[in-house]
Amino acid sequence: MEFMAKFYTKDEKDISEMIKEAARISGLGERLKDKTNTYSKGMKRRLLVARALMSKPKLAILDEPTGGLDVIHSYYIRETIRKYAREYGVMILLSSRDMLEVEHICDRIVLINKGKVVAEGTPRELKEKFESKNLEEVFVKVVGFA
Amino acid sequence: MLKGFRNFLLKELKELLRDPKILLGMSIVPFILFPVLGGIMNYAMQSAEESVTKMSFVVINNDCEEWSYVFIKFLSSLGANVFIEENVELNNNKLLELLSKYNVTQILEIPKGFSMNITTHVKDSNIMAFVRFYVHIATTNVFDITGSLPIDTAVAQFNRALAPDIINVKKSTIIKGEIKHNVDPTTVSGVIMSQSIIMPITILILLFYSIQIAAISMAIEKEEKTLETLLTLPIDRLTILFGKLIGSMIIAAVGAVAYIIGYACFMQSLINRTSPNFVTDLPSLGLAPHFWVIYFLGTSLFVTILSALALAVILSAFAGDVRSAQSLVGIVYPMIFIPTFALMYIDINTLPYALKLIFYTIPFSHPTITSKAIIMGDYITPVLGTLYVSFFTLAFMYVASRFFATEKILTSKLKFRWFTKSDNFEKQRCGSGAAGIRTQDFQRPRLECSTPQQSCGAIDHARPRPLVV
Repeated sequence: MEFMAKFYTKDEKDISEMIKEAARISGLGERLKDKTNTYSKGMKRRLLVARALMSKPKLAILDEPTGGLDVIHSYYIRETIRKYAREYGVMILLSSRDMLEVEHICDRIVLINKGKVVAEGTPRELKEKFESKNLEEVFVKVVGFA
Repeated sequence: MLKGFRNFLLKELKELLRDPKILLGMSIVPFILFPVLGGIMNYAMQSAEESVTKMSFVVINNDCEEWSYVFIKFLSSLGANVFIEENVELNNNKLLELLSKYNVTQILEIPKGFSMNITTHVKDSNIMAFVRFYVHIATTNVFDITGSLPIDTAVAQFNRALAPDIINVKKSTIIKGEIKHNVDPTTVSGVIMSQSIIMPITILILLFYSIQIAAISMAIEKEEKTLETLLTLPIDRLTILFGKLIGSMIIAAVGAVAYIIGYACFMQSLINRTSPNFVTDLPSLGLAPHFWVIYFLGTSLFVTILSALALAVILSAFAGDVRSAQSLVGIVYPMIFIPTFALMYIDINTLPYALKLIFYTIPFSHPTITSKAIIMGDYITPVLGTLYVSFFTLAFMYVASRFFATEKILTSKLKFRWFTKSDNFEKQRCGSGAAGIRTQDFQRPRLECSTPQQSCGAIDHARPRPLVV
């Protein structure tokens, strides 16, 4: 974390704050002192999210942040992202194939199929437009397999 | 018999033989390296043998009396090719002139009073005759450095026929155009030999080390997907590239220093054990490393390592993991191994023009060439060599930096896909091309494979895991 923080600021105080922030986001506690190769996949992902958000960027691009994770870790990461976007105004550009996750986290959605944008709008707009219960159903209807 | 052993063994053998990297490694050494090295050793030994059998030297007869003629006749009867000059006052220039005039490396001087001393020896055994023997060391071919052994044998035979210790040999060495009086050429050739073996071996190990370190460091980043994280940092990509290059170089240098110290200790203990007089006063011979020697060798080594590192980084960027990276950089090893071993035994100047050109073209042979050239006081070859390797290094670094500046660094892959079934299967499913460098845009898999379950192995592998920025 210190290594990463030093790329964003030279100020020792800021660096130490960033590290504290990262420790808080990752929620890894004492395990932060361990080597990362002893971490589980979920712990590594929490570390990466913390690394990305600790500098409070204007924009964070997250590619499937919960892909392959168990329920607990996925929940933790989603909550962190939501909280950060709300509290610090960080804009998040997130890509995911988990439509339920997208529905839960995102304010605006763009559906892409075979490299082309097939629909866009807020989750509510899309659900209403395609008369679906959730975004997964929306996607299936848009793509045309249902 | 263990149950299922045969079946399992067959599976293992098939798997190992299907891996083209293993096949390549198994065939390079026996079919390429050994024949090449054998040829080199053969050439070096053949040329040395020729020079020994055709032992020729100039005899300067300053005595011109009975015994001097007897001695010269005796030398000729041994099969030596003897050129005779009479009454010549020897000095530095005269010696060099005679050496080049007769194209020889050895001069024997029979001084005035030689015959008289032999005659007197019969009455007074304390009085002995002597001859002066000058050996010109002009080549660093270890098999060519014959030292003064032939003359020692000849004089010993002559003494045996007349009387013990009647003739002594006072030896001098001509090195870098200067006569070093009373310095045994065997000792000097020993020093040169040890230098011309220690230096190339150290260089070889140093180059192997740095290439391995750079390739592994790059491949680990790719294997563990940390390269993507590094590329998201608010720093120039060249910073990452140079950080990798310089970091690997420092570690390689530390390894080399440790190696040199260890090797020197080993050699020293060996030398002390075999002959305490082996180590002579190197500075007086002009063989001790001085500023320019260290400067030229250091510069040459520096640029060569940098070129090797740049090459290793480029090659390992095409590998998906550490194992593939190691196999890929293995392609470079013969280019280091062959010139180093060849030039360890052979002086490059004695090689045929075509071979000379090949060795000069390979950048990794230049530190060895430099290390041998500076022993002989030649500073032009190192300068030209260093300039050439610098040019090569710049070209490699330019390619590496261009490569690093694109997204290809994440997705490029050099695949050996001739044999493996899974690869063929992959080829059929994904419709990918033949062997070679394959660059994939990581957007493409989504277009080719409709669902994650159907995604193809290679493509899925090339596709980065979630990237968090």
